[in-house]
Amino acid sequence: MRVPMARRSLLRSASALVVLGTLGGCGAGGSDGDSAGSIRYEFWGSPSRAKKVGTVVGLFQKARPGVQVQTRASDYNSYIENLTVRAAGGALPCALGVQSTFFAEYAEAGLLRPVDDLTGSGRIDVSGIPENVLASGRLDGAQYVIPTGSFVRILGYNADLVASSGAPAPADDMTWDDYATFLREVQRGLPAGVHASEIEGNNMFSLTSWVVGHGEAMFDGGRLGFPKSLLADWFRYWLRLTADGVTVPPSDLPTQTASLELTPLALGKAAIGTRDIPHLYITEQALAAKARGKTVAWVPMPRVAPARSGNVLGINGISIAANCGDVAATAAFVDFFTNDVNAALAFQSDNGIVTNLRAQEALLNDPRVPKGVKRSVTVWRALAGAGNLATTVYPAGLATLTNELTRLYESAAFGRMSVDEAVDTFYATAQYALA
Amino acid sequence: MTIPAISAPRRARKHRAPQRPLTRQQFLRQLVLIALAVVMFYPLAWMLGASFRSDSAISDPGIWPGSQFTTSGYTEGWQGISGVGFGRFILNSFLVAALCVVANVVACAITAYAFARIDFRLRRLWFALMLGTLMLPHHVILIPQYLLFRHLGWINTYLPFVVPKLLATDAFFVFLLVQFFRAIPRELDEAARLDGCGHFGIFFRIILPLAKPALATAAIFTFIYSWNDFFTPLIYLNDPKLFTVPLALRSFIDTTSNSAFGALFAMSALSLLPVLGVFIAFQRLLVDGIATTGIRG
Amino acid sequence: MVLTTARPPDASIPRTRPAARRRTAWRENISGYVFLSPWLLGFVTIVAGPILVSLYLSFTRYSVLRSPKWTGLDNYRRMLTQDPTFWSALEVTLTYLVLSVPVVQVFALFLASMLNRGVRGSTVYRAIFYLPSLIGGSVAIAILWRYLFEGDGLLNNALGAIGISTQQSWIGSPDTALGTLIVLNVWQFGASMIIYLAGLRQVPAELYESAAIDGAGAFRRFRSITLPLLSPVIFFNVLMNVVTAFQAFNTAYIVSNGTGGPADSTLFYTLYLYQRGFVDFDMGYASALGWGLLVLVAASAAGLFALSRRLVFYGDQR
Repeated sequence: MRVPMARRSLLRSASALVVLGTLGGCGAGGSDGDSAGSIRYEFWGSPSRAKKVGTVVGLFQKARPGVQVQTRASDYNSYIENLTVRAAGGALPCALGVQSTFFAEYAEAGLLRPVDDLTGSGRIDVSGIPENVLASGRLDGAQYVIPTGSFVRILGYNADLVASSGAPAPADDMTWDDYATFLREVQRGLPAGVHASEIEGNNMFSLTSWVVGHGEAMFDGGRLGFPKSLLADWFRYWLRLTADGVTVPPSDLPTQTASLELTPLALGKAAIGTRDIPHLYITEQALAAKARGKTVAWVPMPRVAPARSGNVLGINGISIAANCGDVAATAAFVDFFTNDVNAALAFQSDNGIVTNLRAQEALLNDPRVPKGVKRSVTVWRALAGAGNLATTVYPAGLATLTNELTRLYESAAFGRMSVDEAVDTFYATAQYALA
Repeated sequence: MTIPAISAPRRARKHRAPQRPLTRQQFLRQLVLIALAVVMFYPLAWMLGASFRSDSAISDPGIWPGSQFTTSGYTEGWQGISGVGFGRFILNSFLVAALCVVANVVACAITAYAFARIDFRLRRLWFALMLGTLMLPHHVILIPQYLLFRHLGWINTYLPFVVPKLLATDAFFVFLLVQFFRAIPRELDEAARLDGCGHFGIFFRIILPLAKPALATAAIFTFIYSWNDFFTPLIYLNDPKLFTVPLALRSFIDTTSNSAFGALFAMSALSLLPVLGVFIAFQRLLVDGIATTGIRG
Repeated sequence: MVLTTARPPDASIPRTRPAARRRTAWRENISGYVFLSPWLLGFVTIVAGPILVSLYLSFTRYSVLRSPKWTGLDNYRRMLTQDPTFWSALEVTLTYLVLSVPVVQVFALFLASMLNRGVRGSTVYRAIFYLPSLIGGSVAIAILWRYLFEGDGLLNNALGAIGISTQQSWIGSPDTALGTLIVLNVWQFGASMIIYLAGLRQVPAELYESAAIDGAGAFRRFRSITLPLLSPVIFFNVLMNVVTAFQAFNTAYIVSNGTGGPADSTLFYTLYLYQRGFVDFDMGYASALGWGLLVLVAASAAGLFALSRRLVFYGDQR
């Protein structure tokens, strides 16, 4: 039996309306602006981090009833893309996770709210955060980021592998020349297929350590702050080591930026590589699972002048959106996240070493905190206590230069570009990107 | 050439011919197919094995996890993220995909009929414009489109997913159906016209039944594209309770903290099942055709 | 049985006077626009707007986070004369296209015709061949593919098992990295295969039977019956494959972790566009790149359409 045409199309339009109605209601009413009493916190991280944040949010909502915090986590790359699109649409969440490496772009565009008034009045208590850490969240004198975790890249090494090569453990105060000598010594005692070091030539953080350790500044106004010859030397330093078989081959470069557990160091294919402090423990776990090593020890980054540290500091933190609908609630949340001891115990320093000194103490003293976390905090305190930390400026356009460095180093490493060409191109790009 | 009699499509008769021994040609054919199937399937078999492997053993060669067997990938992955279980993500994906399929097939079939069978003014222009919309890279209109949908208040709903489908913006499928419709001989149209059918009649009585394989294809593909769509949920959904599967899968691997490999592979394998199910269900329609004389070959 | 019999004059076209013909044409127009109305509505409201905005943006310097500033043809000038990466990205995309499209289509058509003959277990084969397409651009694929092609990965293990020992990292070396992505695309040929299957199903069986009776062999049947009748579908698949190959993004993004490396060897055009737009915040230039691609794709499509007029046989032609 055929339904007559007219009735069929009526049915169709009616059902379409019903469906649209459901869809429209299927969601938080389509509003994405954070209003009074209900704010959003978006950040990057794995599901385990999302769980910890959830616990912290629960604690906060108990302490401050009447404020709803909705969270959203995504992986790092997706987070950045999402952030950009939201920013373009004026739909940033009230509290957003940021990193020193990328917040400048948003701050300069006026999308982040300077928080000096909040820190000054004590609404957000930053007394427990060291000054050099706080400084990394500042741009042009205004505070844009409240640091909740700090990171520093140092040299991590597979202690067992180095020992098996017959070389002594690396010293605490190596210069870059000492470091090259050390690597060669290690390589001499390693079996075929295993190398002394990962390639650092393409890594912006490592380059920063090199530049800062040589006493130069990375950036100066809208330009690079160090001479071309320094960059050329950096390239040549690593190309020479690779040519002599001391580092992994260039074709292993993709594995260095893959997941932490699949890097050459974690798989026992390289003995040394730069790592962020918490990564040391993750790498150690990965090595232990494969019985390729038991301990990942560390030394500070090499430097040139003894007074200049090569350990460059960066931060992860929370910023407040300029058009946030409920600054008071957001400020309370940020303050809680940063300073509350229970929050710190719940979050377990998951995104960088927790910045608040009191929280650090609490983590060290609490028996429930995992070993890896305690170790990371201890390492940080050792560096901070020795004053062995350097700071650098993180300007807008840094992301472009980070990619450009990788691209140019790879071209040079595979013989597609000469070192001088690569250096010139880098400077040309910097001129455009930093302007 | 005789016009094949139009009958209601019958299932291809599962006519079990008496078992003949394979001819050499058929045997070779089977061999080639098996070899190819093994090669094609091997990466997925590895992934399945990896889903039962503990995270630390993730880079081991070989398919079978052996001593490292564990179902923790499944239990961990099922918990989802931010307190929203993975089951919820699958449900969400299903809802969105189902709506998209219905909307898309209906809208694209109507539009394709116009382009394929009706000679109206400016038809070529609209056709060219429609195809043109396929040629602009998606990232270029991402932000303008986001601004538009935000202006309409559709953020954090499923409207940005379904409404464009309802309005036949998927030029890929319109073009697909146009090609299939054009392959249907016009004599059938004329026969129907003699019976007194207008365009609506031809559409419903001639074209749609004969284009069942094409419609089934469009349905399957729409389901899969919608199921695997990552960007749309990424930028339009705020609330984790509304998330779809690809969004959730991405977050299992974060290069700045520890990665949940087992969970990733486990949930990837799990989320293949509904898509596979839809495919198997719809492919019956691919098998059906105007099988006027029964089995071929 | 020959296909090109002359047809008797069509008795169904009414012999009408000019006024009646105008009325019929008018009715055709109405019907056409009624059927087209959903698409037209969508085009005007939610498609054309963003497209026109992106065209405007291509003439500006737009840093995404701030308002666009008009700069005229600067972006296009830079694209064509001052940007070597533009050309290398184009080269990567074209190489990918030229190498993968024919392979995918041949595979897909070959297997579709094999499976169409009622082979035993064809349901299972269909599913297995289609499975890779189902998994799409999932991040699991990235890990899988890197694992497959790295220095001590699955492929090298398999090669070792048959006596070829190599430690070459296919995915880490700029000379072969693109090749791995081409293989990935070919691995996902199932989608095209399904479309061919659907098309083959629309070919009436009696044609094959009469041809067989006339003494035509399998190859002759394929060439004279299958190919012409399938030509609209072949044209569709080739055109769509070309268009999507030009815009390939997902797999390159996840396998290279967004870098297009090593050494830009997998820097597809759209990946380069994405970097310029979302990493460098240079959205105006990215829009210009997008429109540059559109021109190129449209030209290719026009070329294919022109070719199709000679090679494609539609059932509705007189």
